[in-house]
Amino acid sequence: MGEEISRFMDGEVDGAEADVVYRQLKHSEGRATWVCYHVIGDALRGSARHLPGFSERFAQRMALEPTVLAPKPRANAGLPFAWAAAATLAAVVVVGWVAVTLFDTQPTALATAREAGSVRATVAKAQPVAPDYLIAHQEYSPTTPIQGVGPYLRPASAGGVDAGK
Amino acid sequence: MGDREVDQQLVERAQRGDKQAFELLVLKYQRKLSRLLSRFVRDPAEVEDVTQEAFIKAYRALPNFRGDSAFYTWLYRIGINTAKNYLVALGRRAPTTTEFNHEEAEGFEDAEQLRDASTPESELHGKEIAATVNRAMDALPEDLRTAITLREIEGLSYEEIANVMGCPIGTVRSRIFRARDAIAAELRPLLGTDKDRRW
Repeated sequence: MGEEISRFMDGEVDGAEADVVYRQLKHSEGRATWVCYHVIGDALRGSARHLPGFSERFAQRMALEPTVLAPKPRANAGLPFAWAAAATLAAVVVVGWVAVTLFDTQPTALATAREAGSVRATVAKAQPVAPDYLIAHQEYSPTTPIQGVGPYLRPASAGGVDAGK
Repeated sequence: MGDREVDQQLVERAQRGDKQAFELLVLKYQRKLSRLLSRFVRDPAEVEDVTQEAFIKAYRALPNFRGDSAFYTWLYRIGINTAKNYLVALGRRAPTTTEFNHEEAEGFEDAEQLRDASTPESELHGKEIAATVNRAMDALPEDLRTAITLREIEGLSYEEIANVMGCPIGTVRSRIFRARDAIAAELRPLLGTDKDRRW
């Protein structure tokens, strides 16, 4: 028994073997060995102080103390961190995906826009709208600030001015 | 696993409601702590009261101990505060010479630094223990004496001792145990550590 206690107090025992040693230390013989070995260590380090009866008196006081119980660390204590990490990762993925999508599509979109512009210009050239038609329907144009006042506006055209000259 | 881990194991058992585990820590550190606190409190009876109070406070505060520091470092702080509060309650002032830090306290073993508040009887008893241990050490074979010295005084691990002594770890285990066992055989009658006595 002494060898296990000797190794235990030196930190050379762990796991299931530590439980076995610990059970030995609950018995008076094991505790006596524990005390004796620690006194030897203290004496070799120059501290051979002896406290007769200290442990007995302390045990009496301890008997009056309510047993302390530390809250058991939760098994899922790391879960909030895991959720936070997952949320961060998801956010990074979403932002990254959006960014990549935008960067990928922007040149195409620009090209399409240019193409559309050129098509519109071509169409405009191909089918010119008569000025008379535009003047007649000016009141329906969304560019007119006051709707419905078209009939009261005096149409003026470059042709008119030229005619006046 | 080192000394700190051994203490941590016992602390965790005590935190789960095992009072005996805490008592093992008390048995381990009672001499060291009472010697430290005797720097604050001169009277031997008061030293014991303050030491016991410090251990009780440590036990009550055990749920708050998370192992961020070594158990003895934590216990040391509680002990110092208990001694200071005790002196304040008595209208005395804590000696300023005790303002050393906890790292110093970890290796606080030098007898010359201390003015020990021992009774003449306990002082004599302490000297008898020291003499008995020294005598038993001298009687040990060289390899056992070297192994126990490297462990207890130099604080080397079994692996380090095996390297120093050029032998397997199993041999180191055996030598340290045999050294302790031989010294304990001489020491037990002096300590009165018989089977039926509570420690």
